[in-house]
Amino acid sequence: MLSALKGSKEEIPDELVSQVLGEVRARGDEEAQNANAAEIRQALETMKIMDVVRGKAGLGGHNLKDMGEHKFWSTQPVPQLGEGPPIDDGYIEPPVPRDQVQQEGYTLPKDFEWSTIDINDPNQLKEVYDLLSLHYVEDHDASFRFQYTADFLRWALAPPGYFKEWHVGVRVKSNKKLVGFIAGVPLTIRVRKNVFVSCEINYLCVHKKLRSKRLAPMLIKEVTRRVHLEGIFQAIYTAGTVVPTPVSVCRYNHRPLNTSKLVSIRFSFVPRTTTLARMIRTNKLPDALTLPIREMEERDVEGVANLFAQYMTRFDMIPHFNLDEVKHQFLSGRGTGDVVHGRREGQVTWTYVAEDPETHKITDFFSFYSLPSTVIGNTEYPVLEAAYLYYYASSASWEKSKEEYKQHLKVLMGDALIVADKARFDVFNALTLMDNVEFLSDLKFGKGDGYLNFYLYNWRTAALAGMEAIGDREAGRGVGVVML
Amino acid sequence: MSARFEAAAAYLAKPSTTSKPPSTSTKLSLYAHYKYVTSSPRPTAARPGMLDWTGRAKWDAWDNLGKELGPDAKETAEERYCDLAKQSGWEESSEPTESTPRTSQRKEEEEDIDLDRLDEDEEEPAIRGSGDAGLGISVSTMSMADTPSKECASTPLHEAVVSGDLEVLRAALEKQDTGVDVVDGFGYTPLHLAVDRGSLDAVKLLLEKGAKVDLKDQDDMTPREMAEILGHEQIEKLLASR
Repeated sequence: MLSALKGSKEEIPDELVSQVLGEVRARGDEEAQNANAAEIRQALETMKIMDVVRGKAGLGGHNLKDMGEHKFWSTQPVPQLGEGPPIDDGYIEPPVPRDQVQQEGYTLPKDFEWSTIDINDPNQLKEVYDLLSLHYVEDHDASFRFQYTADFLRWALAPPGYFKEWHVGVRVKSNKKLVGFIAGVPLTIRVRKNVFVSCEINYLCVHKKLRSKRLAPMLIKEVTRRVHLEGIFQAIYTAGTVVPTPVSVCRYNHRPLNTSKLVSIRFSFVPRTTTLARMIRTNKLPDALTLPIREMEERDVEGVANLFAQYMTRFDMIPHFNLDEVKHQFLSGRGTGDVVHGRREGQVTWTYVAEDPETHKITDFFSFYSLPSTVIGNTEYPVLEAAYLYYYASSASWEKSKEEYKQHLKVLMGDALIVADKARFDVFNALTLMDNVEFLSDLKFGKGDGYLNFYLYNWRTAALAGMEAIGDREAGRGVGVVML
Repeated sequence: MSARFEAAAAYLAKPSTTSKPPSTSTKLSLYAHYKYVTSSPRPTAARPGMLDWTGRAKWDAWDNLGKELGPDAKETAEERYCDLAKQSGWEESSEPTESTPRTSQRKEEEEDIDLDRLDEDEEEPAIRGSGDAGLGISVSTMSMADTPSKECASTPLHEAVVSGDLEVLRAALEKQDTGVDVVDGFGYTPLHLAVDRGSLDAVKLLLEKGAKVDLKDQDDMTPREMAEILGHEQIEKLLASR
């Protein structure tokens, strides 16, 4: 039965179809009487009950990974499940001098070898792109899979001060095929009162056919070793699934821009209570921006950096960006050439600023990045163009009353939606972090079925307010780090 | 939830290694118990439409279990889930790690992987849907769970239109005694919904039965205006010709 469900190669046997058909009709449901063999066959082919049972679907932020995974994490310096909040914030394992860090790479299964990926080499970058675009994160129905572009990866993996040794690949020894990848980039963060340099871990990916080889834990251990060699002992990372132990969990929200396409590709649906025509009208955005904002330029770097630093003090866990980093994060991804339909060639980030007309200080900025997904098996719309809210800041947060700030933020983010709409994005995504919960529902974001768990490696701190308030800390205010 | 429950769930999560694959009805039962324990005693979302046969079967299984057990029977549900898992070959004492008998089976499978032909038959569904294995951000789509259930405000005709099945609509039209222009709890006639869901055939069928083309919905939209907004040219032409 299960093997029948798994493949199109093996046809679903007729006897199974008729057996199920019998069961359905036996239920006596009026509509069930109309069920036919073709429908049953279709339903069986797409049936993923086991996905739900294994906790991959429909369980919000609490999809626990399998026990093997837990065994690995129990050996790592991370807070274990159920250990409760610490008395003091701090590391779990003390730093060790460089010469006491294991000097040789970990041993891989015999057919595989380590490979440091040079992302400045277009061929190697393409190998990473190819691996991720076929084998990286999908939704639980396997309808959408992230499609990071080469331009995006070049931007995301090479911030100022990056270490090329932290871009770790696994290849098949015999044919050198890239089958595993993990990336780290340095990031200075503040977690509550402590500021430290950490490694931001992302893009862990193993070829689908090799998931049983336990390569993922090897990649994690190997990149950890290489991070230790640089005298860095903390890391920050995120995952859709739960492993020991999240420091916060946030929920995705989605603002439809191209409503009919989203329904057509089954990203959104039309509830019985309404019509698509109505949704299209409700979601339609104005053509003109509300605020006098303009695209960020080189001369704004210092202003944005100052505004950002001051604004981010409102949150418990944030990045510290120096001028080079501000320039990299918000300016370097703007692409090249002329703007056509709201975007340039190779553009991955959009950043807009508002400037005080008298003092010429930057009073507001917002940024979002482009992360398309492959719509698996759809020939009419092969790609979902998604914009993700990145960082933003507004001096209204300390100059105005709470209510005025909230109204202002709504207008600012409304303009972000308009910019994204003009750049022909299909949907604008945001998590319930920073002050996003202040505007999400007013700006017609709908709740997503995806959650994002935040983790700190070798650092203990009490849970941070993400999708829910913690004590008197409002929802979102705990988390000021946006992952790519 | 108990460690025992988690271990059983972890065992079932590996379909290829389950020694006694469960039947469809066992799987529905497993699903219902799992949802009862990990989510809520009964479904909170609307019952899926009739064409979503799987979703509906799962929803019904869960709902029936909730009715049977009542709201406070988590332990019973866990117990029964574990019993079902045992029937599917789960051994309670076995460690969910390398020491189980399935390790050897897994090893054999591993050796079947041809490292020189990894990318062939790339779209094989057997390996799809297993992409969320890593660290990184996660894919999300619009949640259906937060939509209030208001099916009671509907009629068989509206449901038939939404189902997208012409035969069902034809049957519903034969049976109806409400008139073809009956308005649902949200202010839509069947024709509004047929236009909105883009079904030319359903529109034709409703027009044959005398559906009025100029009735307005809650936003003062006629079916023709809807067709225009949605870009359904053929439907718009058909409605304009009436």
